[in-house]
Amino acid sequence: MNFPALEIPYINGGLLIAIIAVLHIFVAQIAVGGGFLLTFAEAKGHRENNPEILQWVQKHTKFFLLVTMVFGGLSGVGIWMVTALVSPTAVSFLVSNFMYAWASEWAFFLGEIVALLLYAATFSLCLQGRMRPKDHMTLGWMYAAFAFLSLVAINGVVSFMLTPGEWAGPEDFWTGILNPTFWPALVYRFANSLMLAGLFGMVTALGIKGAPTRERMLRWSAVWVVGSFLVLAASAVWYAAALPGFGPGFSLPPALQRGNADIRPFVELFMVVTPLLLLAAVVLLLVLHRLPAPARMALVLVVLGLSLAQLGAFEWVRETARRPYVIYGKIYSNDIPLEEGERMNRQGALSPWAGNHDLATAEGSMQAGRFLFAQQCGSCHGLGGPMLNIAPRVAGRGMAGIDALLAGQGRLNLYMPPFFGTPEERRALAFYLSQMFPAH
Amino acid sequence: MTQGIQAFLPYAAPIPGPAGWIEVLSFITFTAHLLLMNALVGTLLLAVLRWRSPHAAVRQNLEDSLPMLPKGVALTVNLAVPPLLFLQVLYGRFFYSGSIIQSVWWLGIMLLVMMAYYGLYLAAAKENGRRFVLGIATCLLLLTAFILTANAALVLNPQVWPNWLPERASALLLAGAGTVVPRFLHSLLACMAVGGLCLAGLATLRQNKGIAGQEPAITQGLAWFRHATLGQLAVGTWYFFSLTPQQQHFLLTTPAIHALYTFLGLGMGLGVWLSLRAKVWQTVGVAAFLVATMVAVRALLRQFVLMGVQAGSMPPEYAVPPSVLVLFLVSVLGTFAGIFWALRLCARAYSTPSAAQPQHTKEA
Ligand code: HEC
Repeated sequence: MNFPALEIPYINGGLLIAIIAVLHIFVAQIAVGGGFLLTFAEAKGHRENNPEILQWVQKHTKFFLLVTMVFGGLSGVGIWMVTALVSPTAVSFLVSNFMYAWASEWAFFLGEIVALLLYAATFSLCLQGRMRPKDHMTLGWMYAAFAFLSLVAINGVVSFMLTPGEWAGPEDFWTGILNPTFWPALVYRFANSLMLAGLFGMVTALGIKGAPTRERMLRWSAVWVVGSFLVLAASAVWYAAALPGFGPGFSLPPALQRGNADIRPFVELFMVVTPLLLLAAVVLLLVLHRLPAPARMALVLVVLGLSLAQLGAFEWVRETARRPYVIYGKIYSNDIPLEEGERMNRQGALSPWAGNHDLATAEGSMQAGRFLFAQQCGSCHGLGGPMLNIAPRVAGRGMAGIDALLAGQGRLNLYMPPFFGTPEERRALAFYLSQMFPAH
Repeated sequence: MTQGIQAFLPYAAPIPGPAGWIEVLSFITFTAHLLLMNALVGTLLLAVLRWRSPHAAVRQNLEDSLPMLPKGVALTVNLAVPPLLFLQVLYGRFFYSGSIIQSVWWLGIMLLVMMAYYGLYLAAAKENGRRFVLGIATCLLLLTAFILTANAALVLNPQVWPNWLPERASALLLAGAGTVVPRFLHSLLACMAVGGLCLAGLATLRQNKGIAGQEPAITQGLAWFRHATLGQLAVGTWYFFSLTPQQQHFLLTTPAIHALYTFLGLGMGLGVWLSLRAKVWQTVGVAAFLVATMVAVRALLRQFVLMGVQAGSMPPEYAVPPSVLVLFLVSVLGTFAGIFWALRLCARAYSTPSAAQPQHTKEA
């Protein structure tokens, strides 16, 4: 361990990661599904010799350049930059064990960028007859294939964090990548990608001028949404069944059953939004063509909002289901590996990064307490910030009350790691919190 | 010095060895990243500084480069990923600490580049307010470069880390400001040099196509390269004197560095000479060689400094299973083959005359 502890006012580490990650995954999955959608739609346009469809695909491609490549590409690097600051131990554990998975993902993403740029650049050549449609579609297929491969690679690492399974160490690369949730997570995410791409297809298809083509492409995109939804729902069940502690009779894993303030609302959101999404998709398919134009746009945007909520809830639940670990069973959510926690109990949690403080003085305890909070609690709890705000949870309990909570932390309540450090350090943290939040 | 600092070092995760091979991968990808970055920022700088150039060819070529810039950002960012990955694998214990100290500045990079990226798309598409947008994008990218330079300086100078302790939450950007400034100027000059070569290269391509009046753009581009390269002598000397005595000693006494400096000197001389003779492509080759040589010097210095700090507690290495190396090679080579093939498809299409019978009558 022994890193400086990140302190950003108001926004704590977990929240920062969650915001960037959800937006990134939303956009990146649109990109993955989009490669397939664009190319299938182009094929349809050529087959039916319908220039309107082709022009629509061309426009849609520009949208991909701007939204998925710019925002998706940079936020992807962004997640990595944020997690490196919030959980440096976990990130270095992952890059150390899976460096080549990451390196492969990089190569695929390069292929994805180049293929998309070329696909977009040569579109008008294809329409002018200077490039054979078959060749142009090959570029589209390459874009789709590279995007899919980058999903496969990163999914290996991300699913490992939740279910390391039988993984035994660095030499055991494949067991780690092909871990128990690798396949269900891959199918789930791929289905989600196709669904999102279909939704975005609908948004842009609404702008097609000619009515007959517009109606056909709207329906065509709606089929993507409904079809992938069914796969999505099935793979969600498969996914949940692969989580640690999944019991017989389809009871949810204990991590999901907990009533914690940070997981229950999101599980419920997921359970409510998912069927709503299906309902909305069916409505889209069956009655969209009867609605007036403004109502259509509104409906499609609502569905898009629902799917963002659904994805956000899913990703949040996946993250929190891992608690109290960031890498299940190996590194706690606050970036402390199991063995390191034991060492801290023996030798102390305050590192040189905390500065030199005399715990016998009030000032020293405050400084040390601030460091200990940033080190051990800040990844989950905001210090007055929105995520699991610590203020109401400790306010008015007094130093002795908080100290007792800390002593029991992580033993009865399994959603938190235990406090690590010496009894003096524990008291310093209790003192700090009791001073910061004296009363309700 | 190193005695006290070692207490600040976290444990290091094992390196998927051999470390030397990762250094090589890091060298190749970082060189590619820097060259792209220099071309991108350099072209942008020229576009901002020379848009009133009295020579029509200069103005025209710079304007025509604008649509290339957003693509340049995409590729530059993509090529930043592998060297950053390898840096984390090899020197993570230094890198993470240095970046956590930078805190919001480090995190801000993503937003800065994203805004610049959209700005470049906007500037390429719309003539209205183009200078303004380009100017902002330039500032955003220069600030990014500055933060990254400061990051590298922080990572390389662990002895300044304790300065952070009294303030902690406030993000420390400028620790060791002594090296940050010349280091940043050094990369700024490199951008100008490579930007000049991009201009000269584009003009040459057009000249070869028979477009007249390209000479001023070629001469001016080469002049930018030459002046910036000569300027590196001054900035490089400043940079050298801003290093710690141990680092200077290392640079002065290591045979491998002597060889690299000899290459640098010869390369600079050759580059200046070629540019005076308007040999554009040869100058481009020499410039790439110079950048690669500098990257090698930088890597050796980094290795020396950081190995010195962690002497006695080196990160362990483990042997990567062959199947994993195969995965990597197949992914990378497969991707390159795919890209190559796609480029060939496109090149063929571009060389097809537009007179070919249009397949679809209406077109955008
Ligand atoms: C893995 C994330 C995580 C970490 C790390 C963490 N907590 Fe919690 N904490 C939670 C969750 C989740 C809850 C339950 C919230 C709820 O249901 O209201 C909670 C609740 C609490 C409560 C309310 C009482 C209780 O037991 O429910 C206190 C007090 C608290 N945490 C203090 C701390 C302190 C102090 C630290 C650092 C030493 C810390 N927590 C570290 C996740 C975390």
